[in-house]
This record gives sequence, C-alpha cells and structure tokens, in this order.
Amino acid sequence: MKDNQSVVLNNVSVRYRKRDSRVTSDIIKRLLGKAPQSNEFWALKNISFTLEKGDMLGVIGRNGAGKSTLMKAISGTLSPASGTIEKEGKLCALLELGTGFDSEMTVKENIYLRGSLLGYPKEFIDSKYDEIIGFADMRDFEDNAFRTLSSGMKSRVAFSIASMVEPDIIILDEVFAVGDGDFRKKSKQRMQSIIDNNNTTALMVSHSIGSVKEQCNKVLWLDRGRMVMFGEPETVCDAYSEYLSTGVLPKTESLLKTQDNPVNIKAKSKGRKLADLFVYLVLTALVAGGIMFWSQFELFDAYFTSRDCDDAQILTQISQQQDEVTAFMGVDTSAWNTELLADSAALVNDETSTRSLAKEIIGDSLTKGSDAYNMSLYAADLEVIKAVYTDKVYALTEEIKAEYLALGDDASGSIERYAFSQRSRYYAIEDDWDDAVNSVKTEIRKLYRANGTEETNADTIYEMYKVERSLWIAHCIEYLG
Amino acid sequence: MTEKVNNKFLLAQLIKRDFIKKYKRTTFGILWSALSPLLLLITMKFVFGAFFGSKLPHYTIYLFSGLLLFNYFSTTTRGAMTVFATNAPIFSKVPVPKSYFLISRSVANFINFLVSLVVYFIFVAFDGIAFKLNFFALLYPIFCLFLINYGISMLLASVYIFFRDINYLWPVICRVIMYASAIFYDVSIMSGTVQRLLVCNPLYMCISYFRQVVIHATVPDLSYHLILAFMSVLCLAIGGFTYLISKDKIVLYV
Repeated sequence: MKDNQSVVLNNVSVRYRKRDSRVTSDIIKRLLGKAPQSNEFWALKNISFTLEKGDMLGVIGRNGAGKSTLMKAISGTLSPASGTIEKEGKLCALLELGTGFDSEMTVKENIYLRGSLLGYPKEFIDSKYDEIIGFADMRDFEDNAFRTLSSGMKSRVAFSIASMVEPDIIILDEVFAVGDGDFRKKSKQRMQSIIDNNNTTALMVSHSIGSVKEQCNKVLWLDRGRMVMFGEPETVCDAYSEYLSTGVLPKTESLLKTQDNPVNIKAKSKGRKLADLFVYLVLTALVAGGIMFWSQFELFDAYFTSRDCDDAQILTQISQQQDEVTAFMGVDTSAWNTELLADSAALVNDETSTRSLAKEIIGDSLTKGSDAYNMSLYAADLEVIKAVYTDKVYALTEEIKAEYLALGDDASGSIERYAFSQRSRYYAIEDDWDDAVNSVKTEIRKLYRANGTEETNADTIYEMYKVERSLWIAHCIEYLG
Repeated sequence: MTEKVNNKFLLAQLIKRDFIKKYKRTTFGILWSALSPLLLLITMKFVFGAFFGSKLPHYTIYLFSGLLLFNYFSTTTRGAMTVFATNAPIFSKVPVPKSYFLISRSVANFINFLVSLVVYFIFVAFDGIAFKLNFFALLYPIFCLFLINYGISMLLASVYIFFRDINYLWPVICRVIMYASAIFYDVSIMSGTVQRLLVCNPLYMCISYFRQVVIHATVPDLSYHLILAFMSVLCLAIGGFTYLISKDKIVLYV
C-alpha cells in the first residue's frame, strides 16, 4: 500500500448461503446420492479498486447489486471469502442506523454502550456526551428506555454518536434520510464538513445519480455482485443512466472478468484435506481407545497388579484381609469359615446348578481340568451363593416390613423409608458380589500367570477362594445386621 | 495501548448491560439471584429430604452445593447459546470482536453466581458448619467451572448459528447432566461402573469438591485437581476450536 492510498481492494469476493444448508431435505438428498440444489450465492465477485486519501467514491447500482455488502466488507463486519482489503486510518461506518441498540436500557446507557462499541475511550464519551445529546436534541429523553423512542429519534441518536469523530475513512449507506427536515439539514451539514476535509476518504451508497455526479470524484457501478465500471463520475453515471433506460449492460472489461465464479483462494488444498482426515482419524482412535480401555479396565488392572506379584504376596494380602474382617467385626472369622465351608460345600456339591452356571459363564469350551474350567466353576459357585443370600436379604426385608406393619397405620411413612434404604443396601450388596466374582477371577488369573500350571496351585486357589467368599458373606451379614 | 484501554471499557459496558438486563423490569431485581436457588432448594429438600435426609449428614448443604453449581452451569450455557444470534444486529454493523459478547455474558452470569454463593455460605453457617481455612480451596472448583462454562458456551453459541436444533437438544442434555451430577441422591446407591462414569462429569467433580470441603472438611487429593484441570482445558479447547473455525461465517448465517 502506497503512502497516499487509503482503501485498496484486491479481488474481493463475498459468498452467502441462500438458505441453511443443513436442512433435513438437503441431508436426505445427500444420503440418496443426489447433489442438493446449489446453495451458494456470490454477493460480490472479484471487486478490485483503489482509493486515495481525500477521494469521494459513489457506489451505484440497482437493488441487490451488492452495494451494502461491499460497505460491510470494507467496514470489517463481513470477512470476504477471498481477496484482500487494506485500509489506512480510523474508519467510521454509518450502516443501517438505529439498529443494534438495547431497547431496555436508557438513552444515556445506550450512548455509552454504542460509543464503546465504536471504540471511543471513556474520557472521549464523557467529554462529548453533551454535544451528542444536544445534537440529537434528546436532552429531555436521556433517561427514557430506548424502546420508548420513535424510530426517527433512534436514528437521530445513532447518527449523533457515529458522527462524533473525525474519521480518516467514512462509509455512508444511504443515511441522509434521517429524522425530520430540520435534523436532516443539520446532519447533512455535519457530513459535508467531515467529507470536505481533504484527507478524509468517503464511500457513499446512493440512488441519486445527481448527487453522486455533484459530490464524488470516483464512481463504482455494481450489478449483481459484479463490477461493471469504475472511474470518472461523468462516464460511469452516463453509462448507468443509459442502462436504466435500455436495460442492456455495457460489455466492459471488468464485467467480463467476473463472468465466472471467483476462484475461492481459501478452498482446501489437497494437503489441508489430508491434514483434516488425519485429525479425524486421531480423534476417532482416541475415542475408540478410550472405550476399549474402559471396557477392559479389569484386565488392565489385573495385568498391572499381577506383573510384580507372587504367590506369597497374594497369600499375605488375603490373610491381611481376613484380619481386617476380624478386627472390623469383632468376631473370629475362622469360625465363620468352618460354618461357611459346610454351607458352601453343600452348594458346590450341588453339581447341576454350579455346572450349568459355569457353562453359561465360560461357554462350550469346558474341558475338565483346564484353566477355564476351574475358573468358571469358582465363579459359578459364587453366583450360586449370591443367589441364596439375595433371597435372604429379601426375606429379611419382608420380615421387618411385617413388623412395622404390625405397628399400625402411623408407621407407613417409616416403612416406605425403610424399604427404600433397604433397597439401596441391596444394590450395594449386589455390586459387592459382582466385585467379589471379578476379584476371584482376577486372583485366579494372577496365579495361573505366575506359575503356568493349575495342579501346583490348586490348594492355594482353594484357600484364597474360601477367604474371599467368607469375606463377602461377612460383609453381607454386616449389612443385614 | 489506547486500543487496550478502550477494549476494557467496552467489556465493562457489555458486562454492565448483560448484568442489568437479566432482571430488568422485575420487582425484586438482583434478589432473584438469591431467591431462585432458595425456592428450588426448599422444593427439593421437601421432596427428597424424606428419602435421603436421614442417611446423609447436612443434607440441606449437600443439596444446596449441587443446586448452586448446577444452576450456574445450566443458566450460563443456556443463555450463552443465543449470544451471537441476539447480538448479531450489533456486530453486523459495528466491527467488534464477537468473543466480547460471550465474555461479557459469562462474567455477568458469574456475578449472579457469586450472589448465590453468599446465600450458600449463610446457609452453611446456619447449618452449624464453622468457617474453616480450607474453604479457600473452593476457589479452585469455582475457577475450573468458570472455564468449563466458558468453553461450553463458545461451543454452543457457535453451533447454534449453524444448527438451531441445539436449542431443543441442549435442555435435554442438561437434564441428563443434572441426573448425572448426584444433586439430590447419594452416589453410593449407584453401581460401581456408574460411580466410575460419574468421574467423567466435570460438574459432578466440582459439586463433589464442594461437598468434601464444606461437609467433610477435607480437600481432595492432587489427582482430583489434575482431572478437573484437564477437563477445564479440554472444554476450553473444544469450545475455542469450534469458535475459531466458525467465527468468520457467523455473520453470514445470523
């Protein structure tokens, strides 16, 4: 950008979507393999021009030619799909005045808010506040909620705030039609005084060819997003007037240049597409890995604990657990063991139920004496015991409920509460049982992994299994107590 | 330099606007920040107190911790969803960074949360829990929750522009998160797997942090802090990424 240049546009294109692309019908069409109807709309195609400091540009064209879009792109609220916009100095854009205010806040609060949005410092608004409110002639209304103002009043306030600076570039989008006759005159004067400054570059959208010819030194003619002509006011305005009467566009060089859709320079390159694919793959792998790790958590856990754990350590731990139960319950668990051994012996000897359960757990690969066989037997055994004790929990609940019922109607609330808490306890027990079965399985796996064969460990496994079972039954009874 | 000062002033103006607007034209005004969690608390205490109250110590505080944080989360995220849509008239006319609107909404909601927090501590005092020095540890989950909220706000506000259905989807997800935050029940009635899954819910982690500090007078261990930090950063990263890839297109869709 050279020193005296103020606004430089280089192949600027803006693309709109005609409608939401993610509507259901489009998705269905895409799924069926049909390409949905084109949704792209180029509001501006390859616009290039240069303005120097002090230039006054008039933008003309029919409705929907892209004039306002161009102004928005230059002011910076829209970013172009391709091309570059360079500008130098402080910019003031008067676009669609009166919108974007907060209807619930007062005029004064809105002036401060809008001022801060326009980038004015607090001190500046403080010092200019009187001038702004005076210019808008709204002194009597400064504490009114903004929604109580008429649309003319709103525009007056908007204009007063926006025109309070001395910008290097000013953008005017048909804003002269503001307020009543008196205010219109005042605002026109103010605009003129800003524009007349030799260093200010002005861009204005107008439908009045007369005022464009009179005020501007450069004119841009847009038609359906394309640049028809850019140059001297006389030449462009005359051509435009001719077009308005004949309806035939002149075949200018700049118009021909934009017949085709702009090349979207931000379109994804092959490398970028590959990079995107890579990101998606990594994300999928992460999610899948997370789910796998989660579902196999027990296995990983067992692997990491068993890696550096030998038989002796496991046995020590089991006896420690037994001691803990003894200490916690204040009873000798060895007695429990004898009692429970008799109980469980009967259950384990009930070969049919245990075996059928074991078959369920391990499937058809039930070779007698194999690791799988033994493991499933133990697990099944625990399941059987669990079933028995679950029944006991229920029976006890019913018993206590009956006791409460015997107390009469007054106790019904307590019964509900009791049933509820009992149920939650039951859930807890059930979880403990699942954990117990799993821990037995884990322990067995650990031992097998450590020694390879099942014969040498049979005794150890049985010992451990006994302790495990008594431990959990002890827990169970503690819950019921 | 001046640019920076101006931005601060703009942010202050926007925060002021968002904060004032929330209870504008109501009779009780800012009191609602305290009143609405209170009313909800009374209702829930009445409904669930009979079930869980007898088993859990300081059940009122237990419930209030959950409600306080969940309300902060749900009001912030639900409100943030429409930030870009409602402020579009401003940023499509005036070139202003769009993230300012999100920041101001987040901070305004945070101020509301602080008001509720004062009520919370009044209740803590009434419930016979003495103020301890470890209450200062609560600054950590509050900070994390702010970041998490901000991340999710960025995500929702950006997604809302392109996929308006999120407006109807999010309240449902919010409800799921509410049930997964153990606000009124005791986690020990859930199975082990569910308990392990709850750790994936950052909101539950924050609520549980509050309960551990206030009711049980302990501070969670280092790994707990690390998990929360990781979740905050993750939320910020996801939200920031969505915002960055969509920010230039937002103005074309609103």
